[in-house]
Formats: sequence, C-alpha cells, structure tokens
Amino acid sequence: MLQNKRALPYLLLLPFLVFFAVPLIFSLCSMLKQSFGIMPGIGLDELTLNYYVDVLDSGTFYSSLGFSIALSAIASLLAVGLGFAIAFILAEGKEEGMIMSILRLPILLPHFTAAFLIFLLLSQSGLASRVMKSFGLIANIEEFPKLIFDSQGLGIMISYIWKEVPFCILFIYPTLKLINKGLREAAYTLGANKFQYLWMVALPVCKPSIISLFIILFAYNFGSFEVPFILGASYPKAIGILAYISYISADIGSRPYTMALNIMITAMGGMLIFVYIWLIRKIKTMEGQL
Amino acid sequence: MSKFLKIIITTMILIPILYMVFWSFTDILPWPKLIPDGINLDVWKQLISSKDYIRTIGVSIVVSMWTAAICILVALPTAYAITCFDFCWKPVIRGIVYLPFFIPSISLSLGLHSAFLTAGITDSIMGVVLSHIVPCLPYTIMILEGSFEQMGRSFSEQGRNLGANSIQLLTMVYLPNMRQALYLSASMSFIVSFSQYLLTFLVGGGIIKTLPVMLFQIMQNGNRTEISAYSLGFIILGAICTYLIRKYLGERYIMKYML
Amino acid sequence: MHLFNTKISRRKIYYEIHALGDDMSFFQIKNITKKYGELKVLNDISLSAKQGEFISILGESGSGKTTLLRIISGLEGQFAGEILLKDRNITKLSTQRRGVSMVFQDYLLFPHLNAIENIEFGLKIRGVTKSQRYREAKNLLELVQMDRHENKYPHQLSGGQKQRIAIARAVIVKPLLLLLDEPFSSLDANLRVDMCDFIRNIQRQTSITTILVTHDREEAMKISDRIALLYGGEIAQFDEPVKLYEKPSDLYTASFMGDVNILAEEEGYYLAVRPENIRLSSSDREGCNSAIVKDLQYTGSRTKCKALYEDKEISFFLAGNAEKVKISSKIYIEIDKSKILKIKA
Ligand SMILES: Nc1ncnc2c1ncn2[C@@H]1O[C@H](COP(=O)(O)OP(=O)(O)OP(=O)(O)O)[C@@H](O)[C@H]1O
Ligand SMILES: [Mg+2]
Repeated sequence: MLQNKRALPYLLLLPFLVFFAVPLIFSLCSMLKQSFGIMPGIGLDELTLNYYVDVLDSGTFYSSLGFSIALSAIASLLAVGLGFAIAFILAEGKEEGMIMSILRLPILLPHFTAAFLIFLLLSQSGLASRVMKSFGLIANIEEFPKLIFDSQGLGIMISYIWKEVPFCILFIYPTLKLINKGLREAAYTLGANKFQYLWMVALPVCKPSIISLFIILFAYNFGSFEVPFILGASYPKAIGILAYISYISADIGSRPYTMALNIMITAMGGMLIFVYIWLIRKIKTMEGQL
Repeated sequence: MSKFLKIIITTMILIPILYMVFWSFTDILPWPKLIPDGINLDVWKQLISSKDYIRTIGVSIVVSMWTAAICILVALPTAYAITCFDFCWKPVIRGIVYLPFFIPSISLSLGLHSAFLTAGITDSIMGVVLSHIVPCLPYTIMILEGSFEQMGRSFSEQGRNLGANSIQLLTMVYLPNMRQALYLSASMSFIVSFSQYLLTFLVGGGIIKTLPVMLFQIMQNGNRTEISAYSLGFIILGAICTYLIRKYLGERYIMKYML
Repeated sequence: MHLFNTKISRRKIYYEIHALGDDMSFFQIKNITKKYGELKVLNDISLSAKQGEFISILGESGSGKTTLLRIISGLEGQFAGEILLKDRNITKLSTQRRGVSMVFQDYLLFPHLNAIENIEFGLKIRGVTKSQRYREAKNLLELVQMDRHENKYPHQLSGGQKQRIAIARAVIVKPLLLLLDEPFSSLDANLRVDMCDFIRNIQRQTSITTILVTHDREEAMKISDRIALLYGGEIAQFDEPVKLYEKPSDLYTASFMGDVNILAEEEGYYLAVRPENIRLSSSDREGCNSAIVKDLQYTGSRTKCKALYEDKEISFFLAGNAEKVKISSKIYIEIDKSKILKIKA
C-alpha cells in the first residue's frame, strides 16, 4: 500500500468535508450572500448593506434581542447557580440512592415537552391554580398570576430552568464528589470551615465547568425556537421566533432581511466560541490534577 | 439537609411528569376540578391503533438510524485524522467541527434549509438525513476524539514499530479498543436526530413526518389529553434508547455530551 | 533558642522555637480503639510526644497508620479513647480547631491555586492581610527551597516539589502538631533520601512536634527521635531507634527492624544475634564455630553470606566481594557474645 503520509490526513477528512463542512459553510455563505441582498432568483443582484440597516432600524429587533438576551442570561445563570448549590449539598450526603436516576429524567425530555409540562402545571387552569383554589387561596381562575404566555417570559424561563438544573447538577456533581474527600480534608486541616471550603475551594475548582455550562446553556437558550413558540407571549417575541416568522412569511422579498437578522444571531453565538475554546484548555489542565 | 433536598428535587421533577401521565387518562376536567369522574382510555387506544403514528415512528427510526450510521462513518476517519496526524489545517477543521454548538439552532436550521432548497434536496428522507448530520456530527466527533486521545499516540507508535501502516493501525489497533466510544457516539447522534424538530419540519417540508414534527403539530392543535399521551409515547421511545446507552456506558461520559 | 545548621541559619524564621520540652505529655493519645464494622483496625493505642519531638509511626501496609493519623487530625470519628494536645482534650474538637496540620500521602494541593497561593491558604482562612500573608509564604517558600517556582500551578510541579509546597502549606499555620502521611512514598529512591534529610531539617528549624507515618524502617530510624512500631492494630514497641534495634521487645520488632539470626530458644526466650555481630574468623580459634556456606549475595560494598550453623540458617556480612569464601565450603565464624539479644517468644 502506498504510504503517502502527507495526503493521508486529508484523505481521511474527505467524508467530513463532503457531508459536514460543505453543507455547513455553504449554508453560512448563502445566508451571508442573501443578507447582502444577492438573490438572483428573484432578481436581486446588487450588494447592499441596507437589510442590516433595516434590521437595526426596527424596534422589534431590539426588543426581541433584549428579551432573548435577558431571558437566556437569567435562566442560564439561575440554572447553573442552583445546579451548583444543589450538587454541593447532594455531594455532602453519603449515599446517592435514586436521586441520580431521577435527575436524568428531565434530560431525557425534549425541550418542547418540558414546555408543555410547565404549561400543564402553571397555566391559569393548571395544577397549581387548581390546588390553590381547593385550599381557598384563590377564588377564581383570573386570580392566579399569569405565568404562561406572559410578557416577562416567566413560563419560558421556568421551563428552561426545570430542564437545565438537573443537567448542571449531573455535570458538576462528579467533580465535587471527587474533590470532596481529598481537598475538603486538606482545607479542613488548614482551618477552613464548610463555607470557606465552599467559597475558596469547591467553587473555584468548579469555576471552569460553571462558566462553560453557562455558555453552553446561554447559547442554547438564546437561539431556541420551540419553547418560546409554545409558551411565549405575542410581544415581546424571542429572537428565534422573530427569525422564524420572518422566514416562513409568504413574501420571498423579505428573505434578505431574514438572513441579515439570522447572521446577527449567528454572530452572537460565534462570539461565544472564543470564550469556550479558552475555557476548554483551562478545564483540561485542571482535570489532570483531580 | 441533603435528604430534605432530595425529597424536594424528586417532587419537582416527578410531579409534572406524573401530572402529564394523569392527563393522558383524563377526558375533560374543567377548572377547578382536581380529579376527573372516570378514566379515559380513548386517546391511548387511538394512539396504539393509529397507522399514522406507527408510520411516523418508522420514519423517525429510519431517519435517525441513517443519520447515526453516516455520522459514525464520517466521524471515525475525521477523529482519527485530528488526533493522530499533524497537518496544517487542523485548527481550522477543529473550529468547523464545533461550530454548530455555537450557532443558535434557529439560524442553523434556517440556513441549512435555504441551502438545501438551492441544492434541491428538500422534502425527502435523504435531505432530512443529510441535514441532521450537521447538528449530530459534532457530538460524534467529540466522543471519538476523546477515545482516540485516551488511547494516545503511544498506541500508534507501538503499532508502527510492529510494522502496521496507518489504515491497519486504525482497523486493527484502535477500532477493537473503542467499542464503547463507537456505541456511545452512535446513540448520541441517534438521540440528537430523534428529537430534532425545526430542521426536520423545514427540510422535510411537512412531507417527512417524524415524531417531533407530529408531536409539535398536536401541540398546536390538540387538547391536553392528546398532547400528554403522544408526549409520553415519545418519551418512552426515547427512554428505551437512552436506557440502552446507559446500560453499557459510564454516566459522566454521557452527561457531558447531552442536551 | 536553638541554633540551626549553617546552611539555612541566615534565613529568618518566624516560628517560636521551643527547646525540646521535657514534658512528656505535650501530646498524648490514650487507649485509642477503632473499628470498621467487625474489623478492629486500632486496638488500645497509647502514645505520647514531647514538645518539638519527631516521632515516627512505622508499620506494614494496612496496619492502620493512616487511620491513626486521621483520628489525630479529627478526620475520622467514632473511636474510643482520648487525645490530648498542649493541656487540652481535643478528642471531640473539630478538625479546624485542633491546631493539627497534615501533609497527605498524595499532597492534595489545590489545583486552582499556584504554589505560593497554596501556601498562603491557611493564613487566608485566618484572615491575615494580603501583604503579611505573602511575606510569610515567601519566607517559607525559601525555606523549602522553592522560591523559583512561586507562580507555578500544581500540575506544573514535580512530585518532590509538590511535596515541599504541601509541607510549607501545612507549616505556615504554625500547628502545634504536624502529621506527615508517607510523604516519600511516591518519590524515587534518591529523592526520598534528600526529602528525608530535608524534612528533618525543617522540623529542627521550626521545632514543630511532628508525627511521620512510614513503612520504611531506615527512613524512620534516620529521622526520628522515637519510633512507634504498629503491628496488627497494636503498638509492638515505642522507643528510640537504637532501643528498637538493639533491645527489641519481641520477635516481630526484632525482625521488622532488621535481619536477626535466631541461635537458640530457652525458657520462653529466643537468643538471637544481628548479622553485623557475626564475624568471619580466619582460623579455628577458641570461641569460633564452624559453618557451611550456603549462598553468597554480592551487593557492592559487602556480600551477604548465608550459612548453616548448628542446623540453623544464619546470615551475616562479609566485606567487599569475599573472594576467599566459596559456596559449600567450611568457614569459621565468631559471634559477639555481648551483643546477643534476648527476645521474648
Ligand atoms: N473507610 C474504611 N472502611 C473500612 N475499612 C477501612 C476503611 N479505611 C481503612 N480501612 C481498613 O483499615 C485498615 C488500616 O487502613 P490504613 O489506611 O490505616 O492502613 P495504612 O497502615 O495506612 O496502610 P498503607 O501503608 O497501605 O497506607 C486496612 O485493613 C483497611 O482495609
Ligand atoms: Mg496509609
């Protein structure tokens, strides 16, 4: 067999290029091209930045962007924070029992099913309001706070949190369990109490995982479509919904506008890549230590 | 403290799920009633006897199997090249591999759909499979890369000393030692493909109907009983798949790649 | 005050230097018994240390050494017995408040902190100001000869370097008692010797009462003021190294501390002799006995000779390569009668 070492890696990468890189880059390029107003199919062939200007000029873009950023930032932050806190307390306990299997349940469900569960539970005619009524805490259906289809996106947020806290727990728990025996005892013999251990050892050691979890969750929540579609209000719309609605609108002439919007959403995600790459390195060196 | 917390978590997780099970057996339940007058099995009967549902399951499994198979075949040489060879475009390739993790799913789906439209491969199973490869492959490569890395270069040096060439090395030294990783990455791409809604809906054009597409449709039109039953059906199928993965593999390993 | 050896004496030491106290009860453990389920790991252990003393706990793997240290440091609960340290009963005190520092078998440096931050940790816990903390840590860093590695993270340090940081980290909080759990076990042979001297030096300078756990008898003998030999969860003997070697209380101690040749058994006692007290004699002089050479093991500076003497296998050392002695030949040996050990059977 011919041992052409130079060509071999490229040969190995061939299927990757054909099945993955080409479609991916082709779709990014076609998005980019269309966003600059080049769509020969409908007679547009002049390079222009107008569509970006249009996007940036529209008020709905800003309200959606702000809404999505705030929503996903808060949800991810709460998910990671709660996840860490719960994992820390769970790691204190001796035996795990069933809890790990139970925590895995929400991860099994797709996000839109989680959204439906939250709807069943917290909508105005949901379980929570029925229980409150039966305890006499509310008199009629309108008294139950509007948590679903609300303009603050509470329902969306709760649904993200419900699904993502277990994910964070299961991600952080093994690390905590691992350092608990060794590093905890080391800290204790140096005079640290439980809170000092939490604050000065456990948290910093988990910091890279925590940040990378936050980034992963944020990127997902930010561009998510299903959950806000099911639980969101008509205003403000999550940015994913905005893009979707504009994409499926019958007017093909609005396509460049959609793509400009899309490119901006993509760019948001792209910025996170750099943070992530930097973090991965840090995590790797740290894990070598544990 | 830890015990108390366990109880709270269990309740928070189980109550919504059990309530959904409860709803799937309930016909109408006007507010503020808590308990229905009787058990209603209509939706379950309808679900089990529905040809449409069976066909949808079939389509789902076919699509996800194809996706998983192609993903493995593509990811294996890719991960091998990335971990065991030096070549100058490596950082770029690595960057491209993990790109889909960071492109918000809405943009990725819309972008892929418009690209597939241009290429004229929408509205077919093949188109859907090809589009699923993009969000699934990064997981597959990630897992296999980890496995290659674990075995390390020393493995390959040893093999080379014994006179194996690169392809023999892959098939005779590495492959037999990475059954777990192969299995995990196949299941991973299967699951990611299995719960893909938007991409399937767009590229399949509503003609290729997988379970998530059907479920989403029902969510928009159906009543709570229907949605509950269909969701449960979907969950049970998904659970069987992940159960199989978990049975054979370590926990943390899976966790890292799920969501 | 006591003077340091010349090498490090110019360095400023911040520690209160105590002369070796005469008070036997600075540190005491009384009747410690520990069970894991049915297994009695420690059985009625009592020990004491003077202030500034260096004690070693010597024993085979699984003899309960780590368990004992963990009990002393408060990491292991549920045991019977008492622990006293500097006139306090610390038996029920939490780990944090005992004034006991521990250097762990696998160092357990904090992976997110660099060398100097690791050392500073204990002071940070105690709310010492940043500049003060840094000053003290810097001094210790010099003491453990690691000043060039101040900013390295644990994964960038070698085993011996981590070891030193771990020691500095434990010492900075000025513990009343320092516990070292097999600090040399993951180091290679040469480094072990260095680190052993090194720890002894540090201990002399800081005068911190120290308990070292090891399974290496030479290390223990070289480094300690007194040694406690642990066997089957009990203390076989607790005494100065010389006593352990020359006046072992039982056969286990005698053979653990070095080779012994049992010559005879009488009235519940063994009569035995250490190999170095058997000499090769050139001729059949008075007081010499004959023996048949069975085996020769050449180790460079000397040769270990195994021979049959009055139907008993004995061993002793010959200088150099012992050219004249041949296997199966008859030799004459002289046993130093004054060095015969009388060991309880
Ligand atoms: N948590 C535990 N549960 C049950 N048995 C234990 C536990 N920890 C230690 N043991 C047992 O107690 C005995 C003493 O263990 P210990 O770790 O103190 O030994 P050691 O002298 O330090 O050994 P080594 O030199 O190998 O470190 C062993 O037989 C061990 O199996
Ligand atoms: Mg031990």
